[in-house]
Amino acid sequence: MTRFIVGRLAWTLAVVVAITILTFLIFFAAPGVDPAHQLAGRGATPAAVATIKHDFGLDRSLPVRYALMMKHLVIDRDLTSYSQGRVKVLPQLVDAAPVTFSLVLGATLLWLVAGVLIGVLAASGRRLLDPLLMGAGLIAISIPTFLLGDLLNLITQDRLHGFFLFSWIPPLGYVPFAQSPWGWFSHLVVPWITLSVAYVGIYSRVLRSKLQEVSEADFVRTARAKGLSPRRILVAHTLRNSLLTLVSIFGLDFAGLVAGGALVTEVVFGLPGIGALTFHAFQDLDLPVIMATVIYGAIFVVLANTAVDILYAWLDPRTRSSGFDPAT
Amino acid sequence: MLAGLVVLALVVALSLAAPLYAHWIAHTDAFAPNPNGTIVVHGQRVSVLQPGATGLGETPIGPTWTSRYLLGADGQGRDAFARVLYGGRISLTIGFLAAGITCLIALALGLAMGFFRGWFDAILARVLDLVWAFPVYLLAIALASATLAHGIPLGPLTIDSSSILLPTLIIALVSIPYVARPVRAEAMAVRSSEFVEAATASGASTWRLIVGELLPNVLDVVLVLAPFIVASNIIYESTLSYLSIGVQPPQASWGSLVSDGQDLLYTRPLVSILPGVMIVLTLMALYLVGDGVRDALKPGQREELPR
Amino acid sequence: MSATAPPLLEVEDLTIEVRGADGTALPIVRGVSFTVADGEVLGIVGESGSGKTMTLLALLGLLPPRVRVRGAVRFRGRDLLTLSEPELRKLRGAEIAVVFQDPMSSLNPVQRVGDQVAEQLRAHRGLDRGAAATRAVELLERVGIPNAASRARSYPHELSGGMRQRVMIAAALSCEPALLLADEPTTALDVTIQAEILALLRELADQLGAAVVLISHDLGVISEMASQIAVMYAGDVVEQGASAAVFANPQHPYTWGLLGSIPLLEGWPPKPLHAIPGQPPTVAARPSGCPFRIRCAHAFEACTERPELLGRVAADHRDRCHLEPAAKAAARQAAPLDAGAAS
Repeated sequence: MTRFIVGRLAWTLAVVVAITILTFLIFFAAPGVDPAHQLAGRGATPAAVATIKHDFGLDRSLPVRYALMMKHLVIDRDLTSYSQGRVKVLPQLVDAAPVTFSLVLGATLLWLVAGVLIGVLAASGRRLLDPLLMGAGLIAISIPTFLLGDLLNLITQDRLHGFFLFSWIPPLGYVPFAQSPWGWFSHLVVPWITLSVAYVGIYSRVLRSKLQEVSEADFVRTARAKGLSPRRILVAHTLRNSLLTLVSIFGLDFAGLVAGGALVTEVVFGLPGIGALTFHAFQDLDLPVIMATVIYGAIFVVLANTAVDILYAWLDPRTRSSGFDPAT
Repeated sequence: MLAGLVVLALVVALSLAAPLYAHWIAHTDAFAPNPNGTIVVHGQRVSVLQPGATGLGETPIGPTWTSRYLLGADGQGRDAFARVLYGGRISLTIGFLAAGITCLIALALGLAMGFFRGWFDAILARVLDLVWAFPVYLLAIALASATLAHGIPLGPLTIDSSSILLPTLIIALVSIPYVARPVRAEAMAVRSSEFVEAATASGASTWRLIVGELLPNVLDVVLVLAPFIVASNIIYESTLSYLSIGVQPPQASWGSLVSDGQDLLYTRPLVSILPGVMIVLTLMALYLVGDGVRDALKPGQREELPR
Repeated sequence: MSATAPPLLEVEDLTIEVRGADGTALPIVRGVSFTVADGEVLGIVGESGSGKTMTLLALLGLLPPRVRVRGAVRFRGRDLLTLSEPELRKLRGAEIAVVFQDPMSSLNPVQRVGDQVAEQLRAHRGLDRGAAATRAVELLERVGIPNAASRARSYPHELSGGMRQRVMIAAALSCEPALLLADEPTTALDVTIQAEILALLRELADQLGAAVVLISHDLGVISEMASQIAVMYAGDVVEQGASAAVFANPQHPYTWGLLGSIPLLEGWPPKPLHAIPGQPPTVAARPSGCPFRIRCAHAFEACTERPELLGRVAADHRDRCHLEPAAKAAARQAAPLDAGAAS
């Protein structure tokens, strides 16, 4: 197991380096890209462009430019945003991360509980319940996040805001937990729901079909022949084997969202997280910020990938001994 | 499945008929702003944009339920329904075109990886894993910010930055892993099967092996995935356009219509919600068709929905 | 056994039907009856698709709900088919236990084998976690698993096929059931392991005084263990009786065929092996009358009528065949198997 973990970590490190190179190439070597002008943002003065040219060594060869970029980003940590009054990029990321974490953690909890519950209910198939739940699931995965967010805003902020159910919902924005736990919670409830709806649909669909597949397995028949209670059969046998599927997709989904995938929800609800930071940087064509968030996101995804592999190996004894890699 | 096909056909037909509707029924140009326009409702001539209740800004006219401005006007006095039909053309075009490009590239990649294996496959597989796990919108923003200002020069051709080809290419690119990974897995399986061994032993050429033996066997995988890829492409497109990263004005897709209508969300919610409803209907239809195709071709295959 | 006490297991006129695609009921098992006394071993033999496994699952109420079961399955006088699910659950594993065919797929891949033995003890005996685990290790020792204490912490994929089946047996016998159902317990195993597992089953069943219903397609396996035997073909019992009687004087041409396909190691040169030509019919394509008639060399006009299960050579040795018992010896002599088998 230790060897397995060390191997995965070494691989992770290699990938992170590869990502920084790839990101660098997208921004600085893609055809038609004029890095100095783009780094400087819209309407920059020639002087600013010249400064940037010098700072990033844009007249030098690509490898040198890459090294300089990384020096700014990792070693000196003084990569600055050019369009917003030369604000340093890293502190912006550090400020945005807790917002994204708060959003994603709450949504994750919500969709795991609801997804597993609905999946189990649908699979244990009452005649009417299953098509009803799966129909709802179909709608859930068919509503784009931005649309659902807009609709919920319309309902809770405007049309039905006077209604007692929604009157406690504050205007859009974010309040840190340390400042006011209730404010934190009440600002995030609707975003949590918005972000989790599609995932509830997906997870319940996947879990339902997996549960149905596993419940036909021989070992479930064995469990029934042992005279175990339905609850024990479901928890220890059927569900335990089915949840393995969700673990692998969950790790990636969670990582993707923390890495910036919750962008749409953040923008719709005015939450200043990583995704919103990237989006606003895009509007200003503020390349240093975009590059930093992309690299941050990639690192997070790769780390989470590694965590999932290790967790998976721990959960499924079969992969552990054979060194089988679930990602391939 | 059947219901899905019917709805899908209806949506496509409506979108195709957009110019006909605009010209013959609504008598309007869906792209020209019409802030001073007037129409006759119940015998009275009213202007399309009316002063807002607060005296600030203007509120477009609501549904007239007549051929002109059937479902009201948008913020610039244009026929909202006609614009939704035009938006469908763009959304559907990008959805299907990008899916086609994705499938072609993914097919080529997956087949090559499955056939040649070795280090070529090892490296590409890792790259695909990475792109697969990476947040789609972050990647799209990165690609868009690198290309949107200047377009993409392809030799003598330049894809203009306002062309819908740009979002199409970006979406096609980020979707590749979702198709390439399963194609590769299937190609690997077929590659090591006995009938390919037999063909190899009888001296078939590489090209003949890939096209003659592998391709027909992995085509099922692509067919099963295709409806889901079109669906996710429509989500990507609408989301990117909503964020104004996708389709650029004067073109408008369902996503950008939702976004444009946002200013009117609290006064004329229909302008924003109607294109949204079209997206939801189209996606549900595509998922139903996808489920049907999968059950018919590969009951065991599980789709990994991109999101 | 006193005259008043009901037999351990009494199956009467058991019929199992599934609904076909067109809505008609297709019988998979038709009118099967047998009795198993305490400590007795009944062997049910037949090719795959003959309804053996369905019969076994029906005894425990483990068939899917869309399958209809009629007749009676009396266990110590109680009809299991009329019991509710919770009542059945109390019997399963405690009074009636099963060993299934493929120990790899029949064991939970993500649960330690010790826990798989222990969970039954916890469900039926109310043992706490620690006591159940200790008992599980004892049971694993008893079925001959070396280093049982450490092996209990293994997962199924870490054990060999024979070891896995020993685990299945340990789990099945953990609550000392009065009746053990074994569905092809050795079929998925290496030939060398098969004899060991059979010996183990017999030894443990003897020790516990448990009755066994052993299902197999292999008449050799049955002959080693069973005192009673039932031969099934296409959902019918075609011959049943004490194994000594059936082996000494088989009455049904299908039984002749099964006997002819067992390799005999006595004598030189070895006798040629015979296969029964053709395949057993599927449920949907079962011919009217005697289902074996299309493969039978001795079929005649009467065989288009379904024969009764009659005890003509002895009251407790019955068969479903229209041939007169007196004519059978000659018929078997003339064509020991089916006409086509000579080729």
